[in-house]
Amino acid sequence: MNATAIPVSPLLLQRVARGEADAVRDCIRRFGPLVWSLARRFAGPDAEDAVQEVFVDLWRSAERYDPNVASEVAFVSMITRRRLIDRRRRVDRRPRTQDLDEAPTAIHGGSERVEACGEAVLAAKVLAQLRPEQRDVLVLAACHGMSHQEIADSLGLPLGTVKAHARRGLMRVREMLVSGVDLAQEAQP
Amino acid sequence: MNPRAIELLCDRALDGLDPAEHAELAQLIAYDDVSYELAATAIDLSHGLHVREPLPEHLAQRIEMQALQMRAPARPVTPIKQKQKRSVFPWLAAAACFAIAVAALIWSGRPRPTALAPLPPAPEIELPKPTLAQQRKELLAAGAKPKTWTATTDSAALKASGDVVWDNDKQRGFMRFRGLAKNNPRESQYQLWIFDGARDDRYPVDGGVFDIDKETGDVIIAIDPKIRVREPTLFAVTVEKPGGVVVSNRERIVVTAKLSG
Repeated sequence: MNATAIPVSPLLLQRVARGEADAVRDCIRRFGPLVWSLARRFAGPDAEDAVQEVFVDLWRSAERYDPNVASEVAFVSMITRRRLIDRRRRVDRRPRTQDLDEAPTAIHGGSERVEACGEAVLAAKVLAQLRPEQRDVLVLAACHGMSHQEIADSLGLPLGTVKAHARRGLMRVREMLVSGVDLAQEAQP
Repeated sequence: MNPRAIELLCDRALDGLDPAEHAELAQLIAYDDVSYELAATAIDLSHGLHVREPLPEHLAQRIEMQALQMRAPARPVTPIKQKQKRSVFPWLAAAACFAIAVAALIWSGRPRPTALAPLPPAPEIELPKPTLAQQRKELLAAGAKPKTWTATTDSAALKASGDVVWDNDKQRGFMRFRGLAKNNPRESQYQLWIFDGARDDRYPVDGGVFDIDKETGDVIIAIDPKIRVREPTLFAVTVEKPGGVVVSNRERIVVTAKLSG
C-alpha cells in the first residue's frame, strides 16, 4: 500500500495560519498519519476523539510555528504529545501498550512513507550514549507514554530513581538539540 | 534557571503536570520554554520510525469540517470617530510609547526563549517493506536460530506449536504460532515477555501485546520490545487484560521458549 505523495512544503503551517483552505487539507493529509499513530499509542480506544482535539490545537497554534526553532514534524508531534499527555492525566487512563497492528500492513507488503526529522537523528545519537537504565526509562516515558509510576512498577525501580533518570536523560537530549552539537564530531579528540 | 522549574519542565514533557504544578511552573518562569517538550518529542520520533497508519477517511473529513467551522468570518471593524477638539490623547500616546520603550529595554536583559539550533531539512525516506515471513527468513539467513515453543497446559495452548527467532544485535525477532487459540481482544490479549539475564527476573521486558485473529492460529508476529534486551534467556507469552499489563501476575502462561541459562 503506497501512501499518496504529498509535496513537502516548509511553510505548510504558516499557510494554515494564514487561513488557506487547501493548507488545512494538505496538513491533514501530511500529518494525519503521524498524529493518528501517536494517538493510537497514547489514547488507545479514544484515539478518534483525541485526534480531533489535537487538530483543533494545531489550527490554533499554527501561527506560533517558527521554522528556526523546530521542524514542522517536531512541532506537530510536540503539540500532539502535549494534548495526549494532558488528556491522559484528565481521563486517568492507563496508556495501552503498543500492539502489533503493524503486522497486517507488513504482511500485505508494499512500502510506507516514513518522515524523519533532524531532531530525531540528533536524539537517537544522544540516546545511544546514555547509560542503559537511563535510556530504558526515557524510552518508556517518551516513546511508550508510560507514567513514571508505571515505569517504576515495570522495571522494579524506586519512583525517585525513575524521575531522576528521566530528567537527566531528557536534559542531555535537550542540551544537544539546543547546541546542535554533532556528537560524532564531539567524540573525536 | 530555577532547578525546580527545570524539574517541572521535564515532568511536563514526559508525564504531564497536575493543575497545582502547572500553577507553580507559571510562577517560576517568565516565558513558556518548550525546549524540553521538543526534546521529548525528538526522542519519541527517533524511536518511532515505524509504519504510520493512515488516518481513517471519515475522521479526516470530520477534522476538515471542524477546521472550516473554526474559520468564522472576520468581525466587521467599526471605525472610531475621532473627536475634533484638542485632547490629552497625544500626550498619553507619547507616554505609552515611552513606557513601551523602557519595558523593551528591561525585557532585552531578561532570559529569552531558547532558540534551538537550525536543523537539517527533513528527508523523505522510501522504505521497502517485505512481508513478515520474508523478514523472518532474512533473519534466519543471517544466522539467527529459531527456538521451539513449549506449550503449557493452559486451555489456549492445547494445540499450540511454533517457534521464536531473535537477533539480539538487531533487536529484532519473530514469533510463529500454529494452533494458538483465537482471542477476543475486548476480553483478553496475548502479551510477550522477554526475560533478560541482565535484569531482575521479576521484571522481564515487555515485548508487546498481540492478537490471534485466525481460527487456525497460524500467524507470524513481529517482536517489538519496548526497551533494549541485553541478555535474553527466556521468551514467555501470557494471557492478559486488553492492552496488556505493566507487571504480569503470570496466572496464565501459554508458551515459553528457553534460549540459554
